[in-house]
Amino acid sequence: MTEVKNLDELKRRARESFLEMFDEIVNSGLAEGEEPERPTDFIRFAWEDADPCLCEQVAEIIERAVELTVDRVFIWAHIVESADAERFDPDGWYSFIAVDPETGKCLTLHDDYCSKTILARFRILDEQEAVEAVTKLSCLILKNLGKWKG
Amino acid sequence: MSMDREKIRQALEEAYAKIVEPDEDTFASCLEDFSKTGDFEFPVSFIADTITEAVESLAGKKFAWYWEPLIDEYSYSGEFAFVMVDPDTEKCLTLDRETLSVAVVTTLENIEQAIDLVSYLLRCAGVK
Repeated sequence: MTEVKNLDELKRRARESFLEMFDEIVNSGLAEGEEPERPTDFIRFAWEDADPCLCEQVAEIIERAVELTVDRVFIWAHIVESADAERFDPDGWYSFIAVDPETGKCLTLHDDYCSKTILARFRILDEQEAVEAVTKLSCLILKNLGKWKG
Repeated sequence: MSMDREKIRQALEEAYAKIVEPDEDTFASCLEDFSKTGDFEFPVSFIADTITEAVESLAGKKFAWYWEPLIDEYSYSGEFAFVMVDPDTEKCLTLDRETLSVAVVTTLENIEQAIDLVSYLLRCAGVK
C-alpha cells in the first residue's frame, strides 16, 4: 500500500483512478471509429434513464477507483438509491460499504450526528461529483485504516 | 448451545410492541401479513427495526446496522439483507469470507424465520 501524503495528492490520484477505471469498464472494447463515452454523459444517462445496469456500473467504477487510489482491495456492498420503492427511479445518490478482507473491519464506519453509520453516501450526477466521491471515500477508508496523514 | 428460542420470540414481541405501540398486532401476525401482501405500502421498517432491536436487547449492546428489503419485479420478495457492525471493534459481524458478502440475506415471512435470523445474528455477535 503506497502512502498518500496530502489532500492534493489524494485528489489527483482519485481523479486519475476514476478516469482510468471509467475507461477500463466503460470504454474498453470499442469498435473502430466508435466514440468513447464521456464520464458526465454516462453518469447522467444512467440517472436520467433509470438504467439499473448503468447505475451499477457507476457504483463499480467508484469502488475500483477507490481501490486504485489507496492501492488495496476491499469487500464492497453498494446501494443505488431510488426515490420510489415501487419502480427503479434513481435519485442520484449512491451508498457504499467497504470491509477490509484481512481484518473484517468496516472501513466506511463513521459518526453521523449522534450515532455510528456504516454507509458512506454520495450524490453522483457528473464527473466532478464522481471524483469527489472517490476522494472522500478514499479519505474515510485511509482514516479508518490509520493510514491518513493528510 | 444457542439462546433459547422462546426467549428470542419474547424479545421479538417486546421489541415490536415498543416500535408500533399502541398497536394490537403481534410481530408474528405482522410477518404473516407481510408474507400475504408484500406490497410496497407495507411498513417494512417495522420488521427490520424489530429484528435489530431484539438483537440489541438480547446482546445487551448497540450495533451499527444497514438493512434493506429485497424487491421482485412488482413487490417485496420477502427477503431482507442485514449488515451488522460492532462499533467498538469496528468489525463487520455479518461478513461471510467464503462468499465475500458483507450482508446476511434471509426470508422473513414467519416468526420461526425471524427467530432463526436473530439467533444467527447473536452468534455472529458472539452471544451464547
